[in-house]
Amino acid sequence: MSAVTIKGVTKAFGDHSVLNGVDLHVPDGGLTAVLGSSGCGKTTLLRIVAGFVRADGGRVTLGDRVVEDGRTAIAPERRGVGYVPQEGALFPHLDVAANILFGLPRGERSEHRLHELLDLAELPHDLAHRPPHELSGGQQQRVALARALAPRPRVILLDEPFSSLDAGLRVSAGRSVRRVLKHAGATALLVTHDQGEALSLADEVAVMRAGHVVQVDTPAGLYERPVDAETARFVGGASVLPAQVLGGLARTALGDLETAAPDGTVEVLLRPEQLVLDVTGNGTPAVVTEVSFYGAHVIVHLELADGTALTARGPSSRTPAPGDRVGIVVEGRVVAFAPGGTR
Amino acid sequence: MTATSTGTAPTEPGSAGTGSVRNGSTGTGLSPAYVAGIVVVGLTLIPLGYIVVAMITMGPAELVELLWRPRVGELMVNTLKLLVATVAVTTVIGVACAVAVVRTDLGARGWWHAVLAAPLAVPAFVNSYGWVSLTSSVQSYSGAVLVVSLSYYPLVYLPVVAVLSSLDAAPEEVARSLGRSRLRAFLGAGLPRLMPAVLGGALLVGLHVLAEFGALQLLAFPTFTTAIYGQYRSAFSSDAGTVLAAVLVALCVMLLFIELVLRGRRRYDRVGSSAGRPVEPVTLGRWRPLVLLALVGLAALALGVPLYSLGHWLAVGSSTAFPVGELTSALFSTLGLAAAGAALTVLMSLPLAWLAVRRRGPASTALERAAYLANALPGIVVALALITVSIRVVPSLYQTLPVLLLAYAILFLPRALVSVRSSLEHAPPVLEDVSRSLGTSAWATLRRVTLPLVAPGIGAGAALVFIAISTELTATLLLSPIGTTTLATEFWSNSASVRYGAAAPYALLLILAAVPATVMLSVQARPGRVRS
Repeated sequence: MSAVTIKGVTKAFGDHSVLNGVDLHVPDGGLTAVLGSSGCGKTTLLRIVAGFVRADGGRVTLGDRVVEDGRTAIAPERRGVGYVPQEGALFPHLDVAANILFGLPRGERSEHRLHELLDLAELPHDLAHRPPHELSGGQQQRVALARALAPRPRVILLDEPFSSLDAGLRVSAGRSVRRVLKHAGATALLVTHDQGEALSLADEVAVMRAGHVVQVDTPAGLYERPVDAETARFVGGASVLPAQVLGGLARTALGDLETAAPDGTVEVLLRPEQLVLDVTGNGTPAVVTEVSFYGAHVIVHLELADGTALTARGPSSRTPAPGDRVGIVVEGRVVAFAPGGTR
Repeated sequence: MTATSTGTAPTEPGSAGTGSVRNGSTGTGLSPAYVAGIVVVGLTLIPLGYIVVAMITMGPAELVELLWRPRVGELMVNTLKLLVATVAVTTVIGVACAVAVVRTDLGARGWWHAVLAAPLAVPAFVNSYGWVSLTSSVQSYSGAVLVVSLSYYPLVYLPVVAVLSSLDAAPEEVARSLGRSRLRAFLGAGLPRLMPAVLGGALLVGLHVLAEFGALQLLAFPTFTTAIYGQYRSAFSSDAGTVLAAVLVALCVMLLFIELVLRGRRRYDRVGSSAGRPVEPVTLGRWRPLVLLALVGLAALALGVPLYSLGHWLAVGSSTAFPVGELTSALFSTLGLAAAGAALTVLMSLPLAWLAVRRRGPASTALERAAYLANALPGIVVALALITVSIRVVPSLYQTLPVLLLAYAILFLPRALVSVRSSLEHAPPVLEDVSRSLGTSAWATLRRVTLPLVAPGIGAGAALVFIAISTELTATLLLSPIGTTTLATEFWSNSASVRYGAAAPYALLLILAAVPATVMLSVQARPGRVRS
C-alpha cells in the first residue's frame, strides 16, 4: 500500500467548475473519509484518483508514482487502485468466485487465493459459487471489497459504499468494512455524504464544500474544533449565537460561557448535547416550541425571549411538552469563530 | 502490499483516447460511434429521402396532374375507410379481450392468453389465403375489414394485457372509496393509464394496414399499397407509382402525428416506486356463457378458419404431388436470407443503441427517432425506393443480395434496436470502471464484461429480425435476385394463381416460422401477476 497525495487538483465540466484546487493527503495505511453534501465534487475527486476522469490541473501521486498531473495521466488499469462503487456493482454474469478473482492474472486465480480473500472479507466459503443477486446487500458489498483487494492495489477507493443498504445494516457493514481494510493494511479513501458514517469509520475526515477541502482532522478533532460555523452545523448540528469575548468568557444570550477564544466579537457554537434543560428555575428562560421523540433521546427546539432559536438534545426520561417554560444551562466549554469566518 | 503494475513516470501518452476515460467534454468531437450512427441513419432514410427528392424534382404541375385523378381519389377512399374500420374493430376486440382475460374470473387465464395471441403466428396474407380459398364472398370491403382485423387485433391485445396486468389497483380502489361504481372507477382511473398502450397498439395496426399488400391483393380490395405494386408491375419505376408512394408515406406520417398528439405529454406511470397490487377480478356470474361464446367465436374465426383451410388444402395438395425439392430449396434460401439480414440489422443497431444508452443527448435521441421513423414506411415504399436509387446510383447493385438485405435492415431495425438497447442498459458503465480499475484493458473489458452482458439481448433482437424476415413478402417479392425463391414468394406465386393446394405446404412452413416470435411476444405480455 502507499500514501495518496492530491495537490491543487482542479476540474470543470464545461463552464461549471467542480474542483477548485483540492489538497489532500492520505497516509500509508490510513482510512480517510471525504465528507460533503451532494454536488460538492467529492465523487469527481474520487474518479480522478481512480483515473476514470481527467483532472484539468494539479497532481495526484500514489506512493512515489505520479499518476495524474493535468497534462498526462496513467490509464486506470495501470494505476493499481481498487474501486468499490455504490451498491458494489458486482459483475452480474459471474459468480462470487469469478467476481473476486476477476482482476488476477489467469495463473494466480487459485482456490487458495480465493479462500484467503473470502476469509479476509469475512465471507463463508460456500458463497463462492452463488450468483451475485442471491447475496444480501452487505454480502455484495464485502464481495466487491474482496474483488478490489485481490490484485493487492496501492489504494482502495470507496464511493458511497453503504448508501444502498438500509439503516440497520449500514452500521454493521461499515464496521466490518473498516475491519477488513485495517486487516489488509489498506490505504483507503472513502467518499460519503453521511456524517455519522464518516465520523465512526474513518481515521481522518476531510470536509469538502464547493470544490474545496475546508478541513481535515480526526473525527473527534473535527467535532470539537470545526473550522467554521457551516462545518459545525454540517458535522453534528449546532446552534450558533453572537457573543462578545472578554478574558476567557463569552457574553451571550445564554449568559457568560467559558471559551479559549481571544477577546473580540465572535460567534459561539453550541452542540445540542451541551444545552441542558432545567425545570427547577435555573438557567436562561426559554419556551419549548417543538419536541421530536427518538426513543433513547429527544430533540427539543427552543426559543429565547429575544426570538433566538436553539436545539437541545436530552434523555427521553425528561421530555418536556411544547409550550413548557424551561431554563437552559450550558455545559462545558464553547467553541468560538470570528463572525462569518474561521476559528 | 505492492502495486501490480510497475511504477513508471506519467509520460505515456495516457488514456485519453481509450474511450473509457470520460472527461465530460466528450461528445463535442465526432466519435466513431456517432459516425457509424449517422451512416446507419443515412441508410435507413434513403426511402424517405427518395420520395422527398422525387416530389421536388417532379415539379408542381406534373405532381398535381398525377395526384388529381379519380383513381387516386378512389384509392384514398378505400385506404381510409379500411384504415378507420380496422383500427376501430381491432381496438375494440383487443381491449375487450384484455379486460376479459385480466379483469374477470374467466379461468384458464394462461390458456386463453395463448389462444388470443396465437393469430399473430399466421401472417395476414396466409390468413386471407385461408379465407379466400374457402369462400370468395370475403373479397369485398367488409370481408377485407373482417380478415385484416382478425389478423391484427393481437397488436392491440398484447400491449394492453401487459399494462393492464401490471396496473396498480390503488387508484381504482380510491375511486371506488370516493363513491364511483366499478365501471366508472375503471373508466376514470384505470382506462386513462391504459391509453398509451391502446394508442400504441392502434398505431401499429394502422401502419400494418397501410403497408399490407399480400392480404389485400388476395382479398381483391385495392389500396395504395396494392396499387403501387400494380403500377410497378406494369410500368416498372414510374412517376405515377412514386406519387402514390408519396401519398402513402404522408398517411403514415399523419398516423404517427395523430398518435403523438393524442398521447400528449401527460405521465401515466406510477407515483412512487413499489410494484403495487393487482385489481380484484370481476365475477362474471350469468354473463359467463356469453363471454365464453364470444371468445370461442373469435378464436374460431381468427385461428380455426385459416387452420381448417390449410389442413384441407394440405390434404388435397398431397394427393397430387409434394414438391420436396422446391420446398427445401425455398426453405434454405429463406433461412440464409433471414440469417444474413438479421446479422446486418443487429450490426446496424449497435451504434444507435450505444449512443442512445451511453451518450444520452439530443443528437443521440434524434438519430434513434430517425431510425424508428424509417420503420413506419411500408415495405413496398422501401422496396420501390431502393430499386430506383440502386438503378440510378449503382446500377450494378440492382436486384442483388445487398439491396435486399438493406431493405430488411431498414424495415426491421427497430426490432433489433429495442432488444440491443435494453440489454445495454443492463451493462452500466460502472462495471467497466471496476474492470479497468482491476487492471483489465479496454478491449479485455469489452470481451470479459460488456459482451457477455449484452449477448442475450443481441441474440433476442437477432431472433426477432430473423423471424420477421422469414415471413416477409412485399420487399422480397420486389427485390429478391432473379432465381432466388423464398417460402413467402413461392407461397405467393402459387396462391396468386389460385393453386391453393400447392401453396399449402409453404403456408404451413410460414406459420411454423412465425410461431417462436409469437410465443416470445405473448410470454413477455403474459398476465402473470394476476392469480385467478
